[in-house]
Amino acid sequence: MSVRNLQRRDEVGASRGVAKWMSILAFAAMAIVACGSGTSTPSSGAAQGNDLFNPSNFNTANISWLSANQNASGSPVMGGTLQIEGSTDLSAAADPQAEYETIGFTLERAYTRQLLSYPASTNLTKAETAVPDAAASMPTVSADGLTYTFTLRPGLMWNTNPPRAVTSRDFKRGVLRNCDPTLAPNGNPGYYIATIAGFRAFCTAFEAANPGESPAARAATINNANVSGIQTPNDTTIVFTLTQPATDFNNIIALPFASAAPAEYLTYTPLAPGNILYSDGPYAITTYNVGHQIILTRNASWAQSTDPLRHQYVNEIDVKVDLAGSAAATQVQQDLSAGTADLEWNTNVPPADIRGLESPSWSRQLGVFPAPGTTNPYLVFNVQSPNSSGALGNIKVRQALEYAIDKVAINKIYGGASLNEPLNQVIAPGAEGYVPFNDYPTSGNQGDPAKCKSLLKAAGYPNGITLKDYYRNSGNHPAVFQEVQSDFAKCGVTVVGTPIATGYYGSSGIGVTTPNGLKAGHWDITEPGWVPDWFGPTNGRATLPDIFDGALSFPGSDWGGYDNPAVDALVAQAESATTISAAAALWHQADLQVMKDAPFIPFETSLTPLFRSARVHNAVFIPFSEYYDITQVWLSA
Amino acid sequence: MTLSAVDVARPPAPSEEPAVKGIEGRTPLQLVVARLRTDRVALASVVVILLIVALAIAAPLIAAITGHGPSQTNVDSGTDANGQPLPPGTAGYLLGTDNLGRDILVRIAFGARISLLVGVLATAIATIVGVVVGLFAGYFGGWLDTLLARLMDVVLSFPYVLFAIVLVSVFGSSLPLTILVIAFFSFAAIGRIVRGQALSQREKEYVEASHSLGAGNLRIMFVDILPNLVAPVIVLATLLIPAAIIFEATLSFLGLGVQPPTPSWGNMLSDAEGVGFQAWWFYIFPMLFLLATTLAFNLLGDAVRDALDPRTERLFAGRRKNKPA
Amino acid sequence: MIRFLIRRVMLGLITLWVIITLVFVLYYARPGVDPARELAGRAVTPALLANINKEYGFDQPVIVQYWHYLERLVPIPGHFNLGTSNTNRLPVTTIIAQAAPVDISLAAGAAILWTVLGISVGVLAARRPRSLLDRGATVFVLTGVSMPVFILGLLLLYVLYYQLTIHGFAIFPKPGSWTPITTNPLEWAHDLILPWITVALVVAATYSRLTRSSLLETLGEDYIRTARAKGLSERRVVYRHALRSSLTPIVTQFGIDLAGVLGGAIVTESIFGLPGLGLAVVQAIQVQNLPVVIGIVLVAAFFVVAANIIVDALYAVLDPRVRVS
Repeated sequence: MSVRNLQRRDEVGASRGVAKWMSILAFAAMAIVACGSGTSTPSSGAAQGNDLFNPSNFNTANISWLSANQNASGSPVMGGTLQIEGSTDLSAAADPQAEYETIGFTLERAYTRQLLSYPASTNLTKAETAVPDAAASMPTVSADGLTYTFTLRPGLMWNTNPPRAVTSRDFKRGVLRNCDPTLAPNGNPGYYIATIAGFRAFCTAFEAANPGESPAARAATINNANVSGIQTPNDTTIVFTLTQPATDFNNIIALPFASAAPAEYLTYTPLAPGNILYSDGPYAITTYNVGHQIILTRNASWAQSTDPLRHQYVNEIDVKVDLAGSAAATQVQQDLSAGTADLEWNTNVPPADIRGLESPSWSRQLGVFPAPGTTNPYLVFNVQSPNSSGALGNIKVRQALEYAIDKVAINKIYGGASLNEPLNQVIAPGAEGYVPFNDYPTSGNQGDPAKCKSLLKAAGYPNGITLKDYYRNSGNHPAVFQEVQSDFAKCGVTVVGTPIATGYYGSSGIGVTTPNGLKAGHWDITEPGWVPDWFGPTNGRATLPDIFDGALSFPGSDWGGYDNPAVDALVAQAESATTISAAAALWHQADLQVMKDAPFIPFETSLTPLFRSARVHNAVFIPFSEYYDITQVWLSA
Repeated sequence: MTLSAVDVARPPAPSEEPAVKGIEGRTPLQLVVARLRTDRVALASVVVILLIVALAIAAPLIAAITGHGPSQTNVDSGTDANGQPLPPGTAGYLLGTDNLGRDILVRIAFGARISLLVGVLATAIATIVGVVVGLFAGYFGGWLDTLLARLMDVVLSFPYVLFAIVLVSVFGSSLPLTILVIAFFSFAAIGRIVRGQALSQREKEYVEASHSLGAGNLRIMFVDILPNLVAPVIVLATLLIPAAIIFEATLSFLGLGVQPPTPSWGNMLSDAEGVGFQAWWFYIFPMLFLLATTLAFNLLGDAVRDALDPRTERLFAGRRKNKPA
Repeated sequence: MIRFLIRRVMLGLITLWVIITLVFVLYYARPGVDPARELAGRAVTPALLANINKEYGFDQPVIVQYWHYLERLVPIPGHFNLGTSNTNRLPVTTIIAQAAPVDISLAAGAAILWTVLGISVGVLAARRPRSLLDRGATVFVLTGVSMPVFILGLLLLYVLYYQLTIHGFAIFPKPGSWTPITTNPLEWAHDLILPWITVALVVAATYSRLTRSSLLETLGEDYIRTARAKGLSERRVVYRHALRSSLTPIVTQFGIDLAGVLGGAIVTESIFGLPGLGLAVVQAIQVQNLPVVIGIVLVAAFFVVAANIIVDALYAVLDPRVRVS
């Protein structure tokens, strides 16, 4: 039902465009140092290869790489300015009910709080499990699993003037606000519509309102809302009633979309530049120079005693967001190494630099982290395309093509085996319902063109077919396209590529705008990617349904228009299962069915390489934002 | 035997020529060629251009000899463990590999095809269109001239790199579009000059004479006036070729020109960015070939211009006078 | 003169209108692309798409949107409105106002540099034709004209920035450095040195060639011979008499070149990470942010058109014949 913006983790390294010559500079600096320190075994543990992708290894004390980068020794130092830099601004004005990218989630950690949230921990299981944040304790759940009662922790304050207590009504307002006609397109009210009783009616009506209406009208809608599933009997209690049991409701309520929203947010038009954002967290946004810089400073209204998850070590967090587009990754890397910046914002460590950074002198600053359940990129078939006499609608054709791809080559494009692993199913290691299987095995995952060709012939296409590929014109995508073209060519399939502008992947012709848009056949294949909205043993809802639930094909993320009622039924059952093990088993069933139908070709699952400057201490990676928790960091004195 | 008029008009046979040998007249073309022949730089450029052309023509042959195609990716054996390119001198790869394991030498050879094709074709189209537009504008004058001249002014006012980006982002990048875009933004330069020349030429007496002989407008434009413009047009065209090549390289470098996997020197440089310093061969070689080509064409164009321009004769004369007797 | 100017201004306005219309048409001509989809997040539903369409006016007929856009361009204070950016709702005028100082700085410094460099090299070459100096100048010219700006920029960065820096001479700043002149003039200039050189070298090459040929031509005129015969020093002849009249083509070219840089030097800005109009428009094109695209295209075109008008006016002042035509 949702997808995380891949803008950051997608653009691993080599982004197209001008001025990536900066890798000359960054890498040479690395190389000089690396050469000087002689050969070495990478201490980052990257050489451990496949181990990194198997979550059962994440918790082994032997795997120290998750904490090798952390730099937690010593006692915290108060003060200093944390410098973060990158090339993309937030896309929704930092509004918690609208920000839907990892960079938004990263920043929101500092100025928003949710009823439940995730702790910063190097133990992956702990990091993936929601714990009380604004709530005093885990919710009381009724026996039938339909009622969740949260009690607020005392002492939470807004940094209004004068400071005011955060109430349960603020949290109710936050959830309701998701349906504002201006905010809803950016965020994801879908999760709440699917779970909270009475929410669907309210949300549908509110979303359909005129987006140009006055703040007063919006305020009226929210203040007069009568949603049976959200009740606030008093200032410190909030009760959610669900339509059916949901083993992942805690994760849904932990999303920043459910952050508290003060009454002031109803006094202005959402997303307009200049709107003041209030904070109940350790930091508050004090300057937002749109397109250039965001500055957060300490929030005096926040007290450590009320917050088990965050800290307030540094004085100021300075985010520079206007580095020139494509030079950014390498330039950021250079700045981090030189110490003129502390953390990256939306870019990754360029793969070309990884090897140099694995040398002992740099490796402590290099972290390679899991995003369990990520499948990026993958190839999706437009099963409704009429091209080549509807070849892609023929299951045998798709199954033949499953053998075509050299997944090891794709791994290399994204930095090699130390960062990526071939994937052969929907659910990736670490996600709920992951049980390894491979319906289309090839030797070494390098593809089997002969088999592909013979199966294609058996399907009725001895002379091959021609497919149109819409590929994104930045990052590694052109390289992926060329690899796909090459691999398919060995199977007798001609791929004609059309580059499309990056922007938001949802437009540019991929996401259709009419229910039968896919039948126009503008494209036959494309290579999107997927990052779940949350991680851990209850994130089944955050992956498979969005991509393969036929009910969401227009205009959702089921890009290729695949629809199998059997899968939809399994999804519905999984989402309403009462126990995690039951849900996991059902997700696995769905996985099996989808792979049998072959509506897409999975390529790989990946690790995220991040770097930090030398003076950053306690850099803990949290899967929740796929990034470091900036509220854990202190700087060297 | 009666003498026919033809017999009478027949020029004397060589044996009938007077014994005194006079100075032989040379056609303008012969003069130009003679001048060019003495210009060593021009000769060198011609040689370089011919070599590049040969490289382009031989591209499939090179691919066959090395066994590497220009577009077939070869990530598994053509890159190292981290997916980075292999250096020149690696077995079978004279100039090394690129980020997808492809042979750089082969890609450069095929890239030469693109550069030359785009350069020459875009220039040809721009020249033809420019000449026609300029002739019509200059010769007819009046409202047609106003319309066409203003059109050329408008085109010259376009922020052209910007517009090229918009056009390509709308229609998608492709080889034909790249050629058309470059031609579109270049024709006005030629058109303007031709128009100016046509404006001045149409006042000349030979045009008047042609008129009175009953020649039609088209005939006067293309048969009488045009030959007088050949010199400046040729110079402009020769100088336009490297500009077109540079334009294509820039577009491809920005990701807006020739689309992958077709190799173009510009998009090879763009691919090289991501790998940068570590794979210096990936950007140095395409850069060298690109510079060599554009430099050669520019040198040739300059030489042709010098050769065609009678005024520089004085300078030639100066030089010859200084030579030892 | 007035009538002449009025005609030029009218032509300029028409040019701007044509350009805007073209961008508009191209933007909407792209098949299968939906600007609302571009703005929507991932979990969008048909109802939400309809919402965005309503909010941004995308659901209105194209012609209506076009008209809205045009009528807001009437330059009456308070009415003039370039719209707001689709991505962050900032007024386009704000975005342009923030980015323009970069291009103005780039243009100003580069213009001084290329004028001084170009003309001096050209003059020196013309004074001693065929000498070593002239040869050197020719090499300079040809290199500049043969080299795409992006290659020159990257080479400068590699050699002057990277190589020097890793050897301990961190003289030049890293790309992405930009300091407004109001903050620190020295730092401002320091950050712009390499970009200035990149922009200026290529243009200077063209200018020196132009100066040289123009000056040579003038030096061959009769009145110059007279001046020499009168006994004036060669210096006075060249600088006082010849240079002045041979600078006319330079003036023309200067206006156009300056306007070109003012409107956004896309390649240079990308390479050096300068947050100017060029970079802004490229990013806007990628995310189909039409208001920003049109806004910046308008600014760029305006500069070019204005420059053309000014240059034509100057020409008319210098050469009365032009006014009549």
